[in-house]
Amino acid sequence: MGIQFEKVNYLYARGTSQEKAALIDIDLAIDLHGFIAIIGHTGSGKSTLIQHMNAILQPTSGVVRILDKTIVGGKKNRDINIVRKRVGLVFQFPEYQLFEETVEKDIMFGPLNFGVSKEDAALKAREALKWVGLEQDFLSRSPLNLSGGQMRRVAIAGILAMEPDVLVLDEPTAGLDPQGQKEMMEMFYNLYVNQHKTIILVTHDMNFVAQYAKRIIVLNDGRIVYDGDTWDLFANYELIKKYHLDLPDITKLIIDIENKLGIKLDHKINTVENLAQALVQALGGANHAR
Amino acid sequence: MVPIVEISELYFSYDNKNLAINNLNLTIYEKEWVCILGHNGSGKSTLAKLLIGLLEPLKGAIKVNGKILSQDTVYDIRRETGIVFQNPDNQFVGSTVADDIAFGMENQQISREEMKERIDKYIRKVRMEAYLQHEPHLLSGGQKQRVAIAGALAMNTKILIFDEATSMLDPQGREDINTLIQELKNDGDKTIISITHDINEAMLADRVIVMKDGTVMTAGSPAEILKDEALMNDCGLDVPLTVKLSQELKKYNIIDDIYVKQEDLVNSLWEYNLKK
Repeated sequence: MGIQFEKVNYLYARGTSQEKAALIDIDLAIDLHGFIAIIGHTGSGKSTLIQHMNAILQPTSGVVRILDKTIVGGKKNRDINIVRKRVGLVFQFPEYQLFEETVEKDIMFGPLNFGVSKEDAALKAREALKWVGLEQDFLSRSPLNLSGGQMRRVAIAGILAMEPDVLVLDEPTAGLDPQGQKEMMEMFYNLYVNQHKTIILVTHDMNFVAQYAKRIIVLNDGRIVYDGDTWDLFANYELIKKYHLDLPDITKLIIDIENKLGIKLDHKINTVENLAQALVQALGGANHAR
Repeated sequence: MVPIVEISELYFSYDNKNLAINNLNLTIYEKEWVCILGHNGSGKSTLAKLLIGLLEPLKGAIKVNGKILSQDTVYDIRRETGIVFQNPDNQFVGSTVADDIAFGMENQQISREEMKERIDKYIRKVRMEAYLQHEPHLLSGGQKQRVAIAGALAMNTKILIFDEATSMLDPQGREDINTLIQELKNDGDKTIISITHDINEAMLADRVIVMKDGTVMTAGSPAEILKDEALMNDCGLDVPLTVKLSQELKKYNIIDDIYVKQEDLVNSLWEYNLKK
């Protein structure tokens, strides 16, 4: 189980002069309980890809298997609604979609839509609020009077209340301040570790990718051009250059130092302490003369 | 140095209970690039709104270009102050890029010829001349912000405020805008106030003002402020990676200083490597 793509193609504006292949021959297998990053430039197909993961979009050709549901390209697929409950998709700036008078009503909206009783939905709302790290007294507040970070947590709680197995997040830290970003990422990591959720993260922030995602998928012009270990990718400078990918700050610093000093360092170094030690070694040991 | 913005004993509250701005005093000088740093809720954006008269203070005075901001002077002062907001989607009114840049000028009885000239000049400045007849909503976030900057520049204001103008952009968009702000600074005729929590942006400014709880906590050069780990953590920010690596390398006597700019740190390592 999990999510599989087999030879998936997706055409936008099919049959018109604007027709464009947004996804080309996508083969992809995502097992449950992983933390995966999807990266690529604006227009590379990231959004199209993740919208296939809960059947908001259906392939033009090929097959997408989402948990126990099979979606065949070019066919009418029935009863796919249930998929949206099990794969929660959090769009960019999800707080813009809050609309109810209270936080509680907003979080309950999803479960109620899937036929959960009012009492159960209220219970799930309480639970979900805990997972996003907000106190229970938020339930009665208006979502529109919260800070940006709090609003986003409420929007995410609305998805979590449907108890999805998979959480797909499109740029979840955009627009938050550094502290808010860190807390948000810790929250997802916590959901991954303690709630056994599968986390699929679309982001431009390579520092977070490096820190949290073991596996990384790179999209370029609608194709998957890399699918593998995150640090193997960051250490592969040729691939990084070829697809104009961004690097974590530490890797950029390592490359700068290498170029200026004409020395070689390990590109997989991922902490400042380790980088300092590697530098000391490369420069002939600690300086005792001074 | 000639003061252009003088703020004294400023107070503001959204709800008449909590002070969003709490006894803020600040002077900004002509042609200076000032970066206002602080976490969400520190009062940065409230300050920006007070500066352009979108909000009215409870108490205190704001003087812009020698005039005290009041209901009588707010329109004059807005003529001195352009602003680019955080959300690229919330600041478009025109149906084409050109219309949008013209919008602000239309409110100021500027002649058609002059308008055309300015649109032409500033669309080039932001490198968006190929998009003049495009619909703004079809542009990327970074492109939208560049158009918004062209619109603000076309007003020929003395002061330009960037209110978290890069925080919703991808890395490329962010870099484009930061490069543009640097160019404006180098052109030397604007006072630039950038409100941000991006330390890479703060590094480029002349002076960094740190805000916390609605007031100025401290101010100084980027080098002084950004290497102060206790201060940065206290206002919910992190020191740059270069500062952390400098601290580590100092323990081994490889370098003597704490560097904020990557270039300076790498140069210092290069010198050490030559001498050893």
